[in-house]
Amino acid sequence: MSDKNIVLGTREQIYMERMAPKIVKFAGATGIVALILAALLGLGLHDHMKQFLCSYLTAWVFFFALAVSALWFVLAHHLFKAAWSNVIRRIGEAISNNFIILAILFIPILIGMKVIFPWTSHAYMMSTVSLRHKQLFYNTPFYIARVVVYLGVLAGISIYYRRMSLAQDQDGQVSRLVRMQKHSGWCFLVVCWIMNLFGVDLVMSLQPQWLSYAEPLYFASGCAVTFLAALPVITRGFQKQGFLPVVNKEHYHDMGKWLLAFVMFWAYICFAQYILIWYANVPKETAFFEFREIGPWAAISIALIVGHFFIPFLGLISRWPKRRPSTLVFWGVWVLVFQYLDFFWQIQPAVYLQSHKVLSAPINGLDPYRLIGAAAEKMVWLPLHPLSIIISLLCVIGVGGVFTAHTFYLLANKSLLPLRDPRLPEALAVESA
Amino acid sequence: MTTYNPSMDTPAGEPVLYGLLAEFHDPQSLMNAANILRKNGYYCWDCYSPFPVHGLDKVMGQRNSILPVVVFVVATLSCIGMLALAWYCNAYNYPIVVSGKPYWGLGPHMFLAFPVTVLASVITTFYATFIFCKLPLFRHPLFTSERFQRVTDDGFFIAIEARDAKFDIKVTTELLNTAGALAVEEVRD
Repeated sequence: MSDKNIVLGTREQIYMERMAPKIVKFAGATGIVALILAALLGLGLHDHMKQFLCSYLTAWVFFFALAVSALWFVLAHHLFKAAWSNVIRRIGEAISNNFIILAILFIPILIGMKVIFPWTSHAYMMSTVSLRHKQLFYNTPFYIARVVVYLGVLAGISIYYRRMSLAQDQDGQVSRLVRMQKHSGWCFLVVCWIMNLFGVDLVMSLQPQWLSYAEPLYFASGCAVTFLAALPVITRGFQKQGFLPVVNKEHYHDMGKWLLAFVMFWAYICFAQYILIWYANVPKETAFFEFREIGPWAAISIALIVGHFFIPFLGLISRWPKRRPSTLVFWGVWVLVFQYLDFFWQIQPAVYLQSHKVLSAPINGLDPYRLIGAAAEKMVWLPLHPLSIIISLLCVIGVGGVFTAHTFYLLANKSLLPLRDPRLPEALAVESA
Repeated sequence: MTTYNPSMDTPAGEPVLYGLLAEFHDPQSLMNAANILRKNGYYCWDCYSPFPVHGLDKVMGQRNSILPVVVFVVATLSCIGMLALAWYCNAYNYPIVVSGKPYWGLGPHMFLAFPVTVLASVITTFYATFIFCKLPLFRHPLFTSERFQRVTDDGFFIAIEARDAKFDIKVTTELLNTAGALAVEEVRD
């Protein structure tokens, strides 16, 4: 690097030699303890682990979203031949390399499939004509195959990009960058497809009768927001510990622009889905919002629109909040909280209202959702019971702890900057308009 | 930001002194000179370059434009206005039942409000930029200078207007020369 005569910081500021192993131990231990606690509390509820699995799925989806959007961001960086994001690329590469951990963490969901996914019940799937046809897609072997393929492809792409990037640190070959850029096009498409299609498996399949063509994109837009919100928070955290001194307010400004753009994109898709369903007014589609207008969920729905779009939109639209790291971190945390709430809102009421108890009631062929009535009124409160919320939080800490531990395991002893990337000097000198 | 008035205290017909035009070799020396001028308290002056020079606005001490505020206000008002109009027409004055839906709903009427907001913002941006830049401007005293024609190619210039409170031909010429000007000339119009 001396030939370019640019200052990247001292060795201690680029390599996480001392801090990373401590975080790995702490986060890993906390995560496992939290997961065990959550499972024990879940057992104590005597609901066939439904609440635990439901909370666990929400937490898993949240961290899956973080990983997949990190991969998506790294690919976008190569696709656009961007320069500025070189300074934070390693964070994205490390976070996106968690798919194998996520695959291992998915095993409890597969074990508990029968509790949360109603399509695992044969009797239920035979109850209506449309469900009988959907058995082609919603069946256990195909579901497991899809999950394996999706996570396998994502893991492959993320490992390839991280390996190439780290190898370039060693040999400094520009051809590696060219190859990464060449493959970024189709990889980007594949990752976007998987982001969409996994939404069908993780969210839409909780309500097999429900159909929405916008839901996969809604899920994907929520995923995309996750990493863009986490990015300034993580970068600032690293800077507070003395790492990445080269990141300046120009880079924060760019991160803020991404975040604002995708907060808007999320709102756009959210609105698009709502309005399509509102206009068509078909029972199998409106069921999604009907579930979420019962009891406390109406307030949560409104809170999502206001808290996930209007407030951060007004907060981020000006230039100065994006250029001040502290305000951007505030909005990053804010959006992360509401993004978790968004997944919570998508997953938890569906699990309860599609439970076998409700389904065992006679199904009205014309409007299969009207029957829920009083039982639903009682059930929708269950995910908001204090104990359920504690389980949900413990699951976030648990999955998050294991996820963080593996991320820092990957970051340890590896440079936090792509040291021999030909565009690193350009990234340091970037000026955000 | 006052307008240029050529008829001030000179007999008609004779060219009026508009100000001093100084040429610089490159963007860096232009920046240096701008820095010196700002520190010396000059107010009515501007830089001219063939391409945007990053950071020049900061060196010149220019503040951010109020254009975003104007656009934001107009956009908000037009969004609310369009919703109000739609509500008045569809839900209040002449309600029509369309496929059994309620007369008023924020969702479907957002379709009207959104493009109207975008259109109003675009039009406001376009015309407000025109107004803030004092366009259309068909003639400018600097166009009388032969040298100034190179500003669209490879020339970097600073022009100080004669109406500046600190303007003094001798002192200002001296200052521009010490600031690294290749040439300083008087512009009369």
